[in-house]
Amino acid sequence: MSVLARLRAGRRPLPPANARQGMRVALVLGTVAFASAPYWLGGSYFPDIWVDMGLWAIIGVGLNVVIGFAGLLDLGYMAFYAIGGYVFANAALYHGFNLWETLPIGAVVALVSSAIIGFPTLRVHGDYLAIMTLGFGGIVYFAAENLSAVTGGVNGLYGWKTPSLLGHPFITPLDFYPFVLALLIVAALVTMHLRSSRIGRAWACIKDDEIAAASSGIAIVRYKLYAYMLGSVWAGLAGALFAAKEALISPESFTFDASFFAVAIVVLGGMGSISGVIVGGIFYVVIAEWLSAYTGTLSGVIFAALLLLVVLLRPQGLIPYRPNFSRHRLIRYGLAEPPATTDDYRLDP
Amino acid sequence: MSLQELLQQIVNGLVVGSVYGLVALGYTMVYGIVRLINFAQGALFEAGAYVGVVVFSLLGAFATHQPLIGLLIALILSALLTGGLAYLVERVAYRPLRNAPPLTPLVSSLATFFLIISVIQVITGAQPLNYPQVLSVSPWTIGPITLAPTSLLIAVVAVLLMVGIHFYVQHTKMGKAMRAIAVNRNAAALMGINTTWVVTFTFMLGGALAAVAGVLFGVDYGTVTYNMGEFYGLVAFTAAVLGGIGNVPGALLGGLTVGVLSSFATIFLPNQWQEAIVFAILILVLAVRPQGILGERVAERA
Repeated sequence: MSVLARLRAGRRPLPPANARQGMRVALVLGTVAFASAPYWLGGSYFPDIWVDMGLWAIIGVGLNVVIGFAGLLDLGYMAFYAIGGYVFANAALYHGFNLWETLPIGAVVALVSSAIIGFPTLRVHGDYLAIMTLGFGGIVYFAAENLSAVTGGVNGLYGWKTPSLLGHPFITPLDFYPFVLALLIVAALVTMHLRSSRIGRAWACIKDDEIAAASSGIAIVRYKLYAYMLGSVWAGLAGALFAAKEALISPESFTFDASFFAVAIVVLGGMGSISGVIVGGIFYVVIAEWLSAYTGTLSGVIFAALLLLVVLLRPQGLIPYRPNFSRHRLIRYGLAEPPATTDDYRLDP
Repeated sequence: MSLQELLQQIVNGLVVGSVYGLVALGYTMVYGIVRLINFAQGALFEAGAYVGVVVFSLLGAFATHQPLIGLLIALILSALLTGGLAYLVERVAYRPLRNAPPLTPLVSSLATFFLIISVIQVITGAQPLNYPQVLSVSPWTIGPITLAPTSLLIAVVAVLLMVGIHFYVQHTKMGKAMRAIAVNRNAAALMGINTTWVVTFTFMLGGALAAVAGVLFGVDYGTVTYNMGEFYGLVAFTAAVLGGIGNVPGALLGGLTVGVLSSFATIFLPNQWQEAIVFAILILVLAVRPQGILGERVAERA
């Protein structure tokens, strides 16, 4: 049994109680320090990076509902990010809407469009779904590039009035940061509650075994549609914030690559694990930033290789979701047998 | 639009469609056997095209003097090397995941696809590369249409290969083993079929076909770009689904249909709409008739 497998099975003894208390305090303090970093780091570079981290973390949390909770592979997720962004840009540019008035509209449009695309899509089975969402992402990208009347074509849309709240204008990334952070926290809390709700349990059931779920009376297509819609809405909101922060929206932010990175964030972080996908989003921005400082194209290679490694060596992700935490504890204390892992049954060398 | 233009687009569509069919064949055979959408197929198509460029540039003057032999060497070398790459992909990215939940191999094939494309992008610096002119004979005029001899050669090679694969699957021992595994993998293993090797071989065959298609496409199109595998991989997948995934003659039919439809689109619509047409066909087929033209109703997977 490898070291990794032993970690997975949880044979590591639990540290003493006071040490665990200390670790918890350190974790909370560390999170607060990290989240408030743009304020004490200052400048304009770091706040921008932190806003990006927040947006990608929101994308991860949203897509996690679709992939992690319901087990549907969505390869066109960034289409909803684009939809949110373009709805905001149009409302701001042609109708003089403020960002805060646009956010609910963006959310509703993302919901409605995900329902429209999801309704025919979710009837088809597993793998086909991935391809169909890929096609949908392609169509939205194509529309963004070519329907110049609505999207401004390749050049995109820009030049709307600066958003403001209670007389305070939003110009620098630091102005947007609290709202991105707030949206991330809301998204994390809402999806956390969704996961343990009736809907969330139905998703888990569908993910495990569709036929069994259907025989237990779960309306599969309807619950899949819920997952698709409740996942996409976060992309719509994040897209609007993204467009407002950049003061520009153009098709290049919504390529297939972007949707691929979104999937990578969820799988790397840990499917179903909310803290995992948030870390995944942060990690993605750090890697992409760090690499683009040296060479832009290498980030694709590294990310693809990392994704492959994680899928092969640690399929549950960096911070796995543990649905049965108390049992997990018992196993760590040595009071219960660890569940059999796939390693024990692996036939191929 | 004149009748002449229409006929011309049909011919162009058939030529490029036969190349799509070759790539679609790889998707369809792998899906038929292991029920996995092998996203890496698009990347293998691209890798094959790039190997072809390298071979042509190594051959140098020889390829200009003996274009047909040069093309043959490029096709064979590219098929062998890309088949080897497909072996590596299967060995590293799919075989360890054989008993994993169905989402996992799909993600790993996606990662592999992206890895291959990114590596090509890094190596070539995202610059498009040019293919040499293989047959610089002036195009023939047959009635109202013009046809370049190269295009005819491409279509003939592609269609012959596809017919060959059809016979291979129907009439050889290996083909029989493939069909047996498609029906029931465990039962096939119990009958003494080395299923691991047959699956690996199918991946390699799919990769080799994609490589041949890549070289032919490069010769037809003139240039190759680092992201061609993304779009054309999807086109070929559309072709496979349209024809009925898992169905060998369906791949040819689907390829030709997608080729003709997308080249029709260039008559009525601006050039960049071609992409939208392919996506629209894909979504329409999946929504209306997911089993494709020739496919039987796909059984639900447990």
